[in-house]
Amino acid sequence: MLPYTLNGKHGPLIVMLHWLGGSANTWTEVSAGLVARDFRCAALDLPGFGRAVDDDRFSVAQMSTAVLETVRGLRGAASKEPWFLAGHSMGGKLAAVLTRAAENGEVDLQNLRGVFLVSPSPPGVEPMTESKREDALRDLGQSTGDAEKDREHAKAFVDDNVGKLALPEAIEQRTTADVLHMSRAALRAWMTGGSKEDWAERVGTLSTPALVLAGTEESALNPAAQRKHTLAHFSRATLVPLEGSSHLGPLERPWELIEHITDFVASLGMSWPERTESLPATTLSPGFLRLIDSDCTSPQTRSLLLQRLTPQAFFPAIFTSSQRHAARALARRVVPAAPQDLASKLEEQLTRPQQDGSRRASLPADADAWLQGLASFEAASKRTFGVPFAALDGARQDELLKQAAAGTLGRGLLGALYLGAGAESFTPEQMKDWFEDVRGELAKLYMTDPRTLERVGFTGFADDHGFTHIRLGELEDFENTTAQARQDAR
Amino acid sequence: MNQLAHNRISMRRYQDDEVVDAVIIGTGAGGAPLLAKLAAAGLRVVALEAGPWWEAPAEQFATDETSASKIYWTDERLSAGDTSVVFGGNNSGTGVGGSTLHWGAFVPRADPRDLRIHTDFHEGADWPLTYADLLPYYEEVETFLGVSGPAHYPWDSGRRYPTGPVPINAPGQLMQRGFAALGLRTSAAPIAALSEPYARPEYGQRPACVNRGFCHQGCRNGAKASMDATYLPWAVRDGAEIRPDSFVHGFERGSGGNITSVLFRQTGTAGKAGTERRQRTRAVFLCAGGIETPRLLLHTGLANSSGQVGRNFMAHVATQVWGTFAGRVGMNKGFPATVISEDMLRPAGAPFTGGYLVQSLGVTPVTWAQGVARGRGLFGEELVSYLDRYNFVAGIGINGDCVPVKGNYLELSEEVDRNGLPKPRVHFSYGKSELAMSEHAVTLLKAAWQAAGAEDMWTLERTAHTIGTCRMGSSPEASVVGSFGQSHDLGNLWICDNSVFPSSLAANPALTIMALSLRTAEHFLASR
Ligand SMILES: Cc1cc2nc3c(=O)[nH]c(=O)nc-3n(C[C@H](O)[C@H](O)[C@H](O)COP(=O)(O)OP(=O)(O)OC[C@H]3O[C@@H](n4cnc5c(N)ncnc54)[C@H](O)[C@@H]3O)c2cc1C
Ligand code: SF4
Repeated sequence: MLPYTLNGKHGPLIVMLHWLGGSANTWTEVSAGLVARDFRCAALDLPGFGRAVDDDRFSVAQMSTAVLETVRGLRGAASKEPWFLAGHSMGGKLAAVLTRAAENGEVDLQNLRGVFLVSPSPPGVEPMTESKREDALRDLGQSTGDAEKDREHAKAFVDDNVGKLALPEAIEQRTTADVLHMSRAALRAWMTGGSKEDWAERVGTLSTPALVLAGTEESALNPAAQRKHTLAHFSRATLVPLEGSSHLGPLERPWELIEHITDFVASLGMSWPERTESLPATTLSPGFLRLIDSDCTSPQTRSLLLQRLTPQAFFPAIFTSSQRHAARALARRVVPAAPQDLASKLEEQLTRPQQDGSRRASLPADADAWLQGLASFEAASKRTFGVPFAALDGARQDELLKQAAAGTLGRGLLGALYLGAGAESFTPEQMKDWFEDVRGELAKLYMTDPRTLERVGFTGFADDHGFTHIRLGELEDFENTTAQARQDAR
Repeated sequence: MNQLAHNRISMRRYQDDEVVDAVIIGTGAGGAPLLAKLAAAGLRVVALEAGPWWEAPAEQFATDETSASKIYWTDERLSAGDTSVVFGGNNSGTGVGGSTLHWGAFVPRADPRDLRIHTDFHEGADWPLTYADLLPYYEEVETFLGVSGPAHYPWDSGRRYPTGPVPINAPGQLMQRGFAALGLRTSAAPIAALSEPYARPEYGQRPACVNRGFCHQGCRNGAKASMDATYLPWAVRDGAEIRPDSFVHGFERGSGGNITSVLFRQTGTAGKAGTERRQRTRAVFLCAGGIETPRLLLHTGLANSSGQVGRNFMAHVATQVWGTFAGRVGMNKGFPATVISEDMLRPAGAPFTGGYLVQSLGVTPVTWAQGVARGRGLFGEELVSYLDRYNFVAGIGINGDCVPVKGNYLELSEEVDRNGLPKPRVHFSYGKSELAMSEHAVTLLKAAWQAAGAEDMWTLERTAHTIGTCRMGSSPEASVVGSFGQSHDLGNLWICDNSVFPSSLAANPALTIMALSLRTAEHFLASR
């Protein structure tokens, strides 16, 4: 079995195959996000990379066999559990080969529900210029003997594969370290062998649903090339261009990948307990539930609180999918700890005829304000970083949010002259007002959730017998019990 | 079912084409006392109320902030100006009982000096009546509602409250501590919620407050003196009819110009189209609140020969200071505001007009979180970790006088709402006086909070209440109604709500609105 990093305890398994130069680390960010949405993610180290640096099974067939064995080990022999396969670049080619095996009835690969390919190397010969191949072989085919030079080459290899938006420093360093760590023989083998192996006929046409993502900034493997080389092999494929991204999608655009993968799986009609990022507990502690259930809490209050724990059916009606991704990204930055997807809550709320009864005269109606506000963030992001808002890492998103709060983001005095992105943006004053509304709305939705109430230690809803201990430091009897239970749980 | 719902079973009903003695539009602080007084005098009166009728607060009002939006006025209002006013739950209610369904029941009386603010400061407007004119009505309202308060009110030695104060909660203790350290006086606040069971022949028995603290979401047991627990059961018992879900949108006038009938749309159950109806009447009392009253008058073009309808919009300066304390506060428990200070009604040398009251603040979590996110400007980890401090924070805030000025007004916008009326647009900006007052208050409140042990303090700038858009006065050229609320233009139209205030007063408005309502009723009955 190949070494792997497994994250998540519940939900469908995704087996992840990295690019030439990567390792299981390549998927760190994507895995974290998908685990929070109740997937399990197994990121493998392919032969010659990461913890498998000493493994020399470099041909496409050998690597695919190694992956197949690992999948069997992970899922158990002949498992019927639904699963998914993700492949980035070189890993994409392996994914196609394995999908063929699955469709051929390989018993250990059965019930493969879909594949996610990011800038995949196609089943046929990879369209790469000879000069590029030679550059890679020259710079990375063997060590120069000079550690500093080697590091420079590795870093250049990473940077050359990044689009408009530089990688956050920590990710860039980690990725460079991965490249440095790879077996040079593995790189030579792929450049001179693996990438040139022609599997086009053997793979043929696959019917497994495929999500193909490709950066618009890439030269040889851009969306148009993918349509020609990869989509020819998948009869049920969705191609999604990653605007401004180049070859390193999982590292450049983790959040977008998470969104696209989640949406794609949902579009297959598969439902699984989805939750959003970063809240450790999806449910309430037994002590807190007991309090909600107790006669301290009035029946109507109880039913409202419990209702909020159950995800409600919701038919998105206001946002397009890319607006929704931006809205989710925004919500995540404003309230990082939310126990649920606040953006869909908010979207649902925007469809209601009655809002909160108050609107700044400078802003359009609430739903329109959201569309325009999101468009303003989008335009600012493209202008500043060359990529959509949802593609930015948290720190860069925060930069824009801070500008919005400070009243320095939006259509400037000369804004009317913008012909492209940004012409429809809010003025900085409007943006400031709208962003204040956004913070207020999201904070409200967050605070309304019983999981937040528990986190905060709020038990004031349990007031059906009234309160008698209302002075400083005083606790009702039930508050003592609940506080004790919280202590014990820690 | 509360007493009012019980009385509803045998409620008297009037025909639309029957000419009743009076139609009262709105059943809040302005409308309800009038309705009761006129009914008790044997008049045939109908109240038209845009909002629904909550018959069983004990079952219908959850301890939950979002579900309380059903008692807020949520038809959209537009806020313009530098100090944009937040409407909805912040200052406007609806339903049988009006804004008193979710009011804070903090009931200081007006300071006598506030009624002659122009005389003293050469700004704003004097009232066409004095404190002595209001006093008997204040006392009547306080006794009727069973207002709880201290045995000795530090700023008015003659004042007596019918029942003792509600228990002081944690934020109240902190305010006592902080003010004592600064050498300033505090007192248990006058609160229109019962500190002990209280009975009146007009409405029966009401229980004591149980310190739940979710008063703004509707009191479930009737301890809070909202109109549906006090004046309205009396009104219905004595023959008034209340029609809920009845939105007034126009009037018909006779040859003499007086109003002859009131046009309203009764909204059916959800999904059903409303029915257009017309109630014939001899007199009309418009008590729809500081925004809806001028909106209706501007829309119908009535009572505005002075051009003053919608003018002089005011909102109280309601700045708050927040801080975190080492020990547990638990500000949600107890009545939301339990301690008052009137020491700042005329602070020496202060560069503003009038003065302000100070009150302790307990705020429920969602409202507080919104204030933090909006007012403190936090987001991200900072927001989340500060919200985690909820049980350890307490606030202190003011209610301060606001000078009426030309630039602050209500007008009709171009947008139409679901009622078919143009949405109101309210222009409001703090002037020099309000800015100076807020600044003065922040310095004082921070000092008090620091003395009480607060850390991590911050300021939430906000306004409260919707005041003054149909001011009363003696001159028909400069005001909309006379001192008894009667329109200068139409003999049978009266206005009685927050819109008639010529100046905002430092005091929270509802007690004064109720006193004016009784005064208007008495005058009307006497002049018939
Ligand atoms: C959250 C909150 C807290 C408050 N706390 C306090 C406090 O502690 N102390 C204090 O003194 N005041 C407080 N107030 C303010 C107080 O409630 C109001 O000042 C007072 O109720 C205003 O009385 P009103 O008669 O002017 O209007 P409202 O009480 O608002 O009554 C107006 C009524 O008219 C109805 N209406 C409007 N338009 C129409 C129409 N076209 N047709 C038919 N009906 C119509 C409305 O539905 C409403 O029921 C608070 C208000 C709020 C919202
Ligand atoms: S705290 Fe008192 S007044 Fe407020 S809702 Fe509870 S019982 Fe009613």
